[in-house]
Amino acid sequence: MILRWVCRKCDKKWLYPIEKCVYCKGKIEKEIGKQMKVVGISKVNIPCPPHPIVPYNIILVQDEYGNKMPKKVMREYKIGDEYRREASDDESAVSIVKIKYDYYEAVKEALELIKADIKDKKILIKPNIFAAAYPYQGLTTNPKVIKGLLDYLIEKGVKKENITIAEQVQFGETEKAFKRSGFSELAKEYGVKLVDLSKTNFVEKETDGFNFQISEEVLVKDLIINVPVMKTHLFLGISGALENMIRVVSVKTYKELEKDMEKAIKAIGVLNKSIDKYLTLGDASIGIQGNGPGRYGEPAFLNMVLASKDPVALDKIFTEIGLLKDAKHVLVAGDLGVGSSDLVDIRVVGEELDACKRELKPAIGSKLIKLR
Amino acid sequence: MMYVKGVGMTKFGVEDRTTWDMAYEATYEALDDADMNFNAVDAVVITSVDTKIGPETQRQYQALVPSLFKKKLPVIRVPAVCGGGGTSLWTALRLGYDNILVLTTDKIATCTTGMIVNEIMNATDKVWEQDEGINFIAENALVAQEHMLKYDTTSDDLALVSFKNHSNAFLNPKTPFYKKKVSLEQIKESPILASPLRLFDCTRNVNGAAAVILTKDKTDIRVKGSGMCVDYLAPFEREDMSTWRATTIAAEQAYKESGLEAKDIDIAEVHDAFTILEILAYEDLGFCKKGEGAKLIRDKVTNIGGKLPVNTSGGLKARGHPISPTGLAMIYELVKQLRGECRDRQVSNLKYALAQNIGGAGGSISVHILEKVGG
Repeated sequence: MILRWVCRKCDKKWLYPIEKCVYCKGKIEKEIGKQMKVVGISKVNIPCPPHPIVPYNIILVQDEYGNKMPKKVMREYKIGDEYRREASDDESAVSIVKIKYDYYEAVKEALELIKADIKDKKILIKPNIFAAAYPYQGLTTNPKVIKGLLDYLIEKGVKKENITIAEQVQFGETEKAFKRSGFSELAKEYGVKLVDLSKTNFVEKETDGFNFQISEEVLVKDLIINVPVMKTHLFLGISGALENMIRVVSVKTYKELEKDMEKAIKAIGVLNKSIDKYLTLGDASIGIQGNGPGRYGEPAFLNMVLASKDPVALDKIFTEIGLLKDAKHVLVAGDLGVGSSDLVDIRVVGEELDACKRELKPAIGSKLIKLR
Repeated sequence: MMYVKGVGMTKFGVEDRTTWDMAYEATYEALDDADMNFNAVDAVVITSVDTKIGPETQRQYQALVPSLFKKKLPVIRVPAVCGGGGTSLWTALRLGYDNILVLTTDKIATCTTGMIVNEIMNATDKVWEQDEGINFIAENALVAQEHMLKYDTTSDDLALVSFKNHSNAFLNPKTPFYKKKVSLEQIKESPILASPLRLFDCTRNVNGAAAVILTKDKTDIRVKGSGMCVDYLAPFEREDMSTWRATTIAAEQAYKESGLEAKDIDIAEVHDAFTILEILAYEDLGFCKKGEGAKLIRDKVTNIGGKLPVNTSGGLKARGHPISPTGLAMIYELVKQLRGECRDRQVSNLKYALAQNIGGAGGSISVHILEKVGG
């Protein structure tokens, strides 16, 4: 897809999603090119930190409107070849989509590449708002990603009354966290419910020897759309799809699990197994690297979203993108049958995985950080 | 009407020097050349890039100038990445001061190649280009490919540009390639960095500074024409990547102001950060018809001894490219040529000289025309 924002009257096009033309003051239309042909190629042999794997190819693609854009690919193309992105209905397919300023288009493409079924569903959106943080800090789910998701759901016929955004914070006050992270305003703007999970009823659920108290709000919904921030994590290695679901349990369950790290690692997998199928929209619009997941981390500015019906596969792909070591809780969840942690079984759609790989700083800790 | 009173420039190279040290040296030489001291400087236009890869992290370059020269005066900063020198000169010409110093200093050769490539990549659009692996070599490689497909320009033509400029730099003591022979075979066999561009199609990143003192007083060098134009940020967004319209527009302004045409130019310094850009410059400046740039290099028209010598300094290719100072290094070379001070690489019978400086991938482009007055 090639995006342009166009003033038909003045015959001007922009790379940026502006709303009004500075010449005629008229409205701007979005132009979406879908038939892409390769019109230029360069094989790059010189690595740099965001693009460490060489050689890679840059193809210049042109759409049916004559608009062009460069694409980084590993595959070989010839001038005149078609450039296409195939969707997949594999349960473990993971889509990777780069955000070209337009969050809605990125979210839409990411979900459509995995053939997400959202029709006529009662949906709970589970972001990551573990504490009060501003959106620019990248610690909580980017409200722009959620805005793109809400636009897509509503466009696809999901009724606003059937959409709930729900989370419980780990640190501080929920109301403050919702406000600071931009979610109070967002929920108000769209007229969707914003629920503090800690104030909901919790239902006892026993799975594989674990007793979880899970929010009823989560269990009664047809579909959970899990929207974690993709991060490195001091305890777990990474946090993403699997870890984000931990905050659907009661504080009592959480504190119980927290006592034993080995047990917690297994519990994350078991918990994800015990919740009916959900899909994940991984927010890597900023993403956290280094000593995440909190304030000791630093923004990675990945500028992409990931989507999958398989949380294990999605987390695995994130470790691959960041050239990070495998995270134990992801492997354990794979062994428990929650999803696939084996690259052989994961189909990546959208961007090519190798073309997205770059070294993220792992969470290694420091003497400044007091581990619990 | 403004004149050039003095020029100064450090040797461009990879020596570990601070930006203030290089700025001081270039300014000192320019003041000496102008036969004046800093008291006579009314204002300063300074340009530099905010690199984050070196040991220097200060950002307040305006305040560096009064600290360095011990004078409180107006200092205007005009950053335009690789086009900083030319853009600063263009600005200084329009400020109306009696004597104004244009100063450029940058330290870019500070760490590993990958980090430098990444740093320079910051002059491209983050979302559309950087995220897609477009570094400056790849950006210009796509331009070269389009020109090759349209006009039958070849890699051998690019090698000839490189060879000419290395041969010129061999004669220029201010360059890192002074007295260092580079053969045509070496150029043609150098590794491909981003196809079709090879290592020797690309500039050498160096550290350096350059300074020009402009004055309202009549001197031996007059700035006869000055033009500047900024095109869209990304080449792929433009109608045609194989022509850089901002060069044509800036050149039209400079020619109009000077009352000259392309055929009147005797010598030029153009922005050959990549060899293809010298061929584009020949065409976009009007030295030949569109698509015939390669013929000029094949026919040796732009060699020293040819009808229109280009990049006698060695160009960015072989004089090196410290980013902002490049535009003023061009003026330095042209002033020295017009005065007849270039020894082994001196071109005879010069009257009009042209400098074309580019910021980004064909973004901020300035064109200046100098005239030798009297004598």
